[in-house]
Amino acid sequence: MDTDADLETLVAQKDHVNVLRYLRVHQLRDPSLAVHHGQAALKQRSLSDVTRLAIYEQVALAALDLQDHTLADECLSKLREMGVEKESVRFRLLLGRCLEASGDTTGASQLYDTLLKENPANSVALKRKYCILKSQVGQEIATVAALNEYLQNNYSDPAAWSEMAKLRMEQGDFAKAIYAWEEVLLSAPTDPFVHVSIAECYTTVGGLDNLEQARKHFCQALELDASYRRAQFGLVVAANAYVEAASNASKKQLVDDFEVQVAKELVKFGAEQAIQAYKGTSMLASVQSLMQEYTEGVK
Amino acid sequence: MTTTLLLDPDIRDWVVLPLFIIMVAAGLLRHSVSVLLQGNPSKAPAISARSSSLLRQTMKLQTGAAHYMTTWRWQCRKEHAIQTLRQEAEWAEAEQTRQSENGEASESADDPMSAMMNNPMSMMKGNMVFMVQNMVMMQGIQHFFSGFILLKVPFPLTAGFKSMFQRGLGAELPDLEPSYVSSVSWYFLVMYGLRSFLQLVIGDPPLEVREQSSKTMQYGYLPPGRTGQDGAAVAQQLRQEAENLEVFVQPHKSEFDSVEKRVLGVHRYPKRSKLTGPDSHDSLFANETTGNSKVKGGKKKSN
Repeated sequence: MDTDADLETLVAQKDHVNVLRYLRVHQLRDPSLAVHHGQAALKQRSLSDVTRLAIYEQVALAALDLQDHTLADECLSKLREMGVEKESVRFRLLLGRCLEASGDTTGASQLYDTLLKENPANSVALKRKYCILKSQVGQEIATVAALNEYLQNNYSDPAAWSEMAKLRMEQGDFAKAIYAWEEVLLSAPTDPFVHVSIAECYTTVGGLDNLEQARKHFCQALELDASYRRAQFGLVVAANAYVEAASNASKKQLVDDFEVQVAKELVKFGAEQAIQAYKGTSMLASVQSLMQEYTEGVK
Repeated sequence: MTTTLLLDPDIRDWVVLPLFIIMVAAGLLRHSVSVLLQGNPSKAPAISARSSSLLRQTMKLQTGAAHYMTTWRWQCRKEHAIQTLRQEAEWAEAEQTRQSENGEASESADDPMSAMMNNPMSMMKGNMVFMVQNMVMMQGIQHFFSGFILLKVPFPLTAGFKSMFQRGLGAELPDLEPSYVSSVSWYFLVMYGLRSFLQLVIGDPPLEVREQSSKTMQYGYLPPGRTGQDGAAVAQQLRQEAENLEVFVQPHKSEFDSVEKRVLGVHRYPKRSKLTGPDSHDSLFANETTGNSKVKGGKKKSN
């Protein structure tokens, strides 16, 4: 970044170009701000060519967010006027986004397919193909296939793995969702949300071993962030489910009494943490009675 | 015998300072020319893009992230990763042979030889500018600025430097101290010293240019002047990583296994005072008041 100032200062100083740069660098999605400052910046004469092109691209994408197709078309034609060729990869990707926004998904898919034929390593085109399929109804299998293709080429993209995990959870395939979440875990092990998601998947599937894993992941989330309420509630539920599953276990399953004791302690611990968190709020009474049910059950 | 020579101040005015200014200007010119002569970005070979991302992900198993899942799951993942790496290595080799059979553009090559074959101009362009300029300047200096002592360096030099730095000062003057040098040495001194100065003067390219290079990588192209790796080299890397993973042993069990103990606190965590579980029916081990308790005494204290 050219300056270290934060966004408010830049807006106050009316430093249009740097506002736009800030938005790009920090990947903030604020289309009205981008359009406003972009149009103001383009009136300046002293911009270098590179900066001007980048601003046109940014304003075009922001205009699509605001459903302002005229402005987007204007930016596209200005880009062509400035000498960008039709065959330019970056221009075609922008064109594809405009086609998608105006509803022409077949045209956009064809464009991305052409780009991929030219260069199979084009990860942006793969991402856009996936997004098109995701936005369409009834295309779950194709969406998963498109995402798989992207992941095959970009195995180390944690954002893509978390997309895969959410897709699988929507489809109800929790085992695969857990696998995908664990790939995210490898990249971001200290994110409590990932642990909570894994634990919730395990709890949904059920079964003694899975509930043990769920307990552990909820505990890990609490170790990372002791005030995470979702983890507190989840711990109570998962540990309680473990105790119930242990008591309902068939003769063939080996139940470790020690683990059952641990689970009971966890229920009490989770209940205490939850009640502590709601002290002083109006919901305390309902939370207390809820936790009472759980702790009664494990006595 | 130390002699102190008095040098003509004209030498300073007409040689030292002009040489310095010429070299700064030449450095800036060289930079602009190299930017203009930069080639286009070349396609990132799809094989290496795909396989290197797999490699990056499997390497994360060896990091601290391993302590955020149970030991057993980590071991399962390790086995799976080893298998996947080997499969990917086979795929890379097969792809490579398929591509070379089809005669598809193999712009990817690891060694300078193939880089020269495929793109004969790329290597020449980069080095040529610098070399040409070097040669020209040295010849020019030796032609114009030779035959006189330029300056005295403020630090003492040994006699070995005399032959290098006192070229052209008219048949070695054995009495002349090595500290007195000719113009060519000033040229070398300034050339190496100006590198950092030029970096400062030219400065960082604007943000948009830096973004362009990162976008180039996203669109599947390599920045200009870099060649990718071909399938065989990539396969070799993958196999090597599979070997590393096989040998890799975690020194300690995963911290994740004991997370419940840490969260509950040591005091609240139940203690395994008696043997519970599947063996609790066994009178020999379960009852702690029997004589056997001395043998099993350690179990009572540990948790």
